[in-house]
Amino acid sequence: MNVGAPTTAPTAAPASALGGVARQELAQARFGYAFALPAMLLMLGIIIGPSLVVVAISLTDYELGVIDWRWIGLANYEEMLNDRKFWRSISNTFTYVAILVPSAVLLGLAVAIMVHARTRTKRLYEVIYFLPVTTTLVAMALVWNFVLHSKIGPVNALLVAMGFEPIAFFSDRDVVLWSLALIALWQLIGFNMILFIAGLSAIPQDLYDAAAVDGADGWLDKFVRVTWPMLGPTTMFVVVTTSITAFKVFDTIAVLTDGGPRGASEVLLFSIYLEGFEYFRMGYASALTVAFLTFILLFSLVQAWVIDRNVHYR
Amino acid sequence: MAEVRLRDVRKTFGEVDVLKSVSLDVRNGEFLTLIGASGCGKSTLLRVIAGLEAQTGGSVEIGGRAVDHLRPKDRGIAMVFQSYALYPHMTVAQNMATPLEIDRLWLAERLPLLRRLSPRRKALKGGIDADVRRTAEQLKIEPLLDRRPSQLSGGQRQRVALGRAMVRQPNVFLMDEPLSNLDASLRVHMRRELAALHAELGATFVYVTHDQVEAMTMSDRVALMEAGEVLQVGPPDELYQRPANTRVAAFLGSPRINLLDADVDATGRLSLFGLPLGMTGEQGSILGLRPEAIALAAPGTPGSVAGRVASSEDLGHETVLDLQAADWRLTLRAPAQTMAAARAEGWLGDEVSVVFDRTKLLVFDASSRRVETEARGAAAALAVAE
Repeated sequence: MNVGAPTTAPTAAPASALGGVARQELAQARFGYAFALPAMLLMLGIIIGPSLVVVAISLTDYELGVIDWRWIGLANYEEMLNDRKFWRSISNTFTYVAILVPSAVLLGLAVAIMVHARTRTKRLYEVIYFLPVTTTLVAMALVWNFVLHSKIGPVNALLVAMGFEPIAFFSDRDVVLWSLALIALWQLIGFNMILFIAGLSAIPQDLYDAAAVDGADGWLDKFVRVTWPMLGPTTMFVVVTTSITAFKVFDTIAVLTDGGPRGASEVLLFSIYLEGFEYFRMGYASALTVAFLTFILLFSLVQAWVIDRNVHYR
Repeated sequence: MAEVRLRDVRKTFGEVDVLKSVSLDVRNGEFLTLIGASGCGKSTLLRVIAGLEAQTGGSVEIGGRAVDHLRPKDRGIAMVFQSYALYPHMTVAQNMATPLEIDRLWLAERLPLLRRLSPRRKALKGGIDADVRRTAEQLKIEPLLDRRPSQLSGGQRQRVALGRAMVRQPNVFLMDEPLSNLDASLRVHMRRELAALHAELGATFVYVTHDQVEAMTMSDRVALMEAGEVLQVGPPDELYQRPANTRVAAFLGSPRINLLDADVDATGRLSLFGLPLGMTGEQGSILGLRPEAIALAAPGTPGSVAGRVASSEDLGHETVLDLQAADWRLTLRAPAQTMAAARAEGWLGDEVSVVFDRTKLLVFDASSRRVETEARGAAAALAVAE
């Protein structure tokens, strides 16, 4: 088989025409920039601009409602790095992410595979699992507060009936992050399931047929050889969105624990809220925000880089 | 030995009968083509043979052994899909190794991470690699072994799909329209290669296509299917020259055969356009004239029929003419030389005259089955093929 690339003889353009071509290309480039300009301005105005403002504020001692402010350089960052509460909220955030992301991705995948295998009841299950996604978490947090209540909650009633000790879901320092992750999980499974089902539907049946002819007809072989690799791009997307959602946890904490008990559920976003809107220290809150954005950016970049190399089959 | 025997195979999807009692024998080492329009059940039949679809009734035997209860892998078959169905995340070598790995390695040795623990795997892997390489050499795709399917052209993917099928050395190859995703020139090339490969391997090929050129050029025998039934099985030229009925005659041949109602007088003598044909038949007889059985003639030639030219397509080597003669549309093909001569003689106007080659006339009875005619020199009077 001839694999040599077809070669075309370079066509020599007459020297006189060259200037014309270059001018035309320049004009075309100008047109291109002109068309891109509105989008660039918008992006600058609503994404990049505000981010830079946050960075600028983080270099000041600006407090909400105070007229005077001055540049204090990196003092906010210095304070942050020496703040025990900052490190605690970092550790809380990462613990929460570490609990939530694997469970939300794996359970979402498991539910998606099971629901996808249904034929007539598929729509029904999709709706049921998706329902939590459509609810407001603040409102549902109140329901969860009752369900997991240490004294009147039905879960503890059940545990006691079965002979276990009751669990203080929101007031035990070692349990509270797990409880909050459980509530988020309840909502995320449905969302991730829908994404995975979309990925599953896109796998061509021919691949399973080919796998069956090759002998890979057990579910484990099918999963390892076809389903899991073919879900690579979907999985990457789900992991990234789930991580970002987990990093941004705020509403359940604000409603249920207020960061407690004794800061055990104080995550980064909640610290930002406390510093900025409870203590009005906008400069310091901005420094925390910059740290927060840096973490999310790094996390997304690493994931995109690591997973991208392994899921796109080109 | 791997002949494939189908006995009364039926398949229904809900209310729909996709296969209505199909019986078919594919001989050992034969290249048999299942041809039919889309939706005729040919692909379903292939999937039943492969074991990808369970038949509703009837039985499948491969190599003298009933395989109805066997998984696809245990039937001694390999399949090539229209979409090639290569695993996109694996290299060519891994794609081709897959059937061997599943055959020779234990489940635990095939799982990620866990497989590193097996010392046995290393030894077996060498044999697998050697087999993959041998097949790759045979197909001349060794330079591609480390590439992914997305880096291959359509023709290369086709070869890899063949390689994955060949590597386990199956007795029966099942091919589901393997060439239909290739461009025209590559298809011609791969047709020859497949035929050569069949001769080289000596395995049984069951080949599904809707393309009659593929069926006519590659097959030892062709089985023509329509609406879940096999209409006729036989060598390609037999199906073309001696079709069992009008449906077979109409499917094979391009442009399509001309099917005309014969005029039958009280004594049963047949005539067409008022010309007696010198043969008899029952009321409702149908006459079949292939486009090449009709030739241009000088106006006024005895026994000729005049028709208005409705359309003409010049294909270079020949011209396909559509005539409106009396109530009938007649399609004929005229070689370029004939056209040039006819033009020089001034035969071509709004109307042209044509004559029929009676030796090539096909006659079908009222139930549209073909009857043997003396004009064709056939001995039997009313023999109906298969």
